[in-house]
Amino acid sequence: MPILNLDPGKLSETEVIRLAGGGVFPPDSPIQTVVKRAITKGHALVEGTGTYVKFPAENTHDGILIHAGALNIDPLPFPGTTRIYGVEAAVFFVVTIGHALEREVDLCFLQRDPVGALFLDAVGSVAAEAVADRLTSVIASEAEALGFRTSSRCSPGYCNWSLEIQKTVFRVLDGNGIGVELTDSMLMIPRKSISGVVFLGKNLNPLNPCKNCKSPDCKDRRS
Amino acid sequence: MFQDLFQAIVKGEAAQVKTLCKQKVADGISANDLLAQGLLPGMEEVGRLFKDGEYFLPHVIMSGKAMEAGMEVLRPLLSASDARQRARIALGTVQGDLHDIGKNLVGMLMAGGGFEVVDLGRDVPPERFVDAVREQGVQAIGMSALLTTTMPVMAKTVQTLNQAGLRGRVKVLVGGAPVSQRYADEIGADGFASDAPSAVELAKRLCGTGILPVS
Repeated sequence: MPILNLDPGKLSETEVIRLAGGGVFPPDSPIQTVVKRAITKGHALVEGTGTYVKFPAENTHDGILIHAGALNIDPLPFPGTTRIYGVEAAVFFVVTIGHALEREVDLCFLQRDPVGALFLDAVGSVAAEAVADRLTSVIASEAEALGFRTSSRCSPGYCNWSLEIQKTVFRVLDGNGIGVELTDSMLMIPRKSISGVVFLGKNLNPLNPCKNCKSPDCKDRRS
Repeated sequence: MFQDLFQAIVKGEAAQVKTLCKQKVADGISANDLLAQGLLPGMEEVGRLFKDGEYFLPHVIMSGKAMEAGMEVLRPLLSASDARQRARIALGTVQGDLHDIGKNLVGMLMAGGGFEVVDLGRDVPPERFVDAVREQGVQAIGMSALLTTTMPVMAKTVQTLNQAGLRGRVKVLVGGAPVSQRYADEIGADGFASDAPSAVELAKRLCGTGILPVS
């Protein structure tokens, strides 16, 4: 499995504020200052890495069958609330921003700086998403060179997928080489890590399972 | 006389709150009056602004931090004069779960709201919540879970409290992204809060205000 160093790039202030609970703050507000400081500090602490593995796959009546040889993986249910057609391969991935930012969040609380902790934690979440986006861009570029279209990424715990699917993801990414571990309660350590699956196919449709999703509960729909 | 303190709380100006509290104490104003007529009304206003959508979580945390700064000055003076006890609440992220930012923020706002907070940390098994009720005399426990796989520990904790014969002595609050009022009802919790400020409001409703001013 390839191991990639992934820079999250510029982190969005708006997104950091949204994940920290929202709000509109004037540019001269003390909160805006804390946000900017958290982004600078957080960016320096992000150690983005990721890895992935690809298997042939195909649609079945009620899900997606993965051809992983001796790994003998259970079929994956369709993500979201609609069926995906034309799946020819599935790429399992995991990314992380490492432990450093989490430690700094803990330190902020110890130093009685809850506002700094709140925003720094949000920076970590935004950075993890950005790192995952970087990795899926790499996957998409490789797929495109082979003539495949790429779906948006789907993660256990989202997209109508049970968290139990984490077991499958970590089975195929066993010894993932970037130090992400899965606990018995399906928690990834470091916590700011994202795992999931991207589907490939020459006639893949829809590309974004979020788009037609009617789930009233999802706060992270990316359509 | 208390408007400046009230405003400093609402604006989340911790240093200003601390300075004002020191000045007013030196001027002979009682800690109890500063709390009852400056700090607590300020936090109530912050709660109202949050509920009305004018304030967001970061504002509330800033104000909570300002409240804490004021309490640092007033607490030693209050303990000598306040005849009433502060409500004590134990907070923890349940066993198997390590997400604690929400729990920490709730703890900070609870402390700002006048509660005495016993922080049990993260990955807390049911028995430790029970021990907190039995040994530390907490009036409420607040459990947080961020994973659907760890939510059942909340139900197990309620069962363990029942088995220990302690359920009637303690209020149980639950929260966290996958948790809902429906789930709270299902497991026999006393209440669910969807965010940190609501958790403080809920705890006050269930236990009474953390610090009650002496009249």
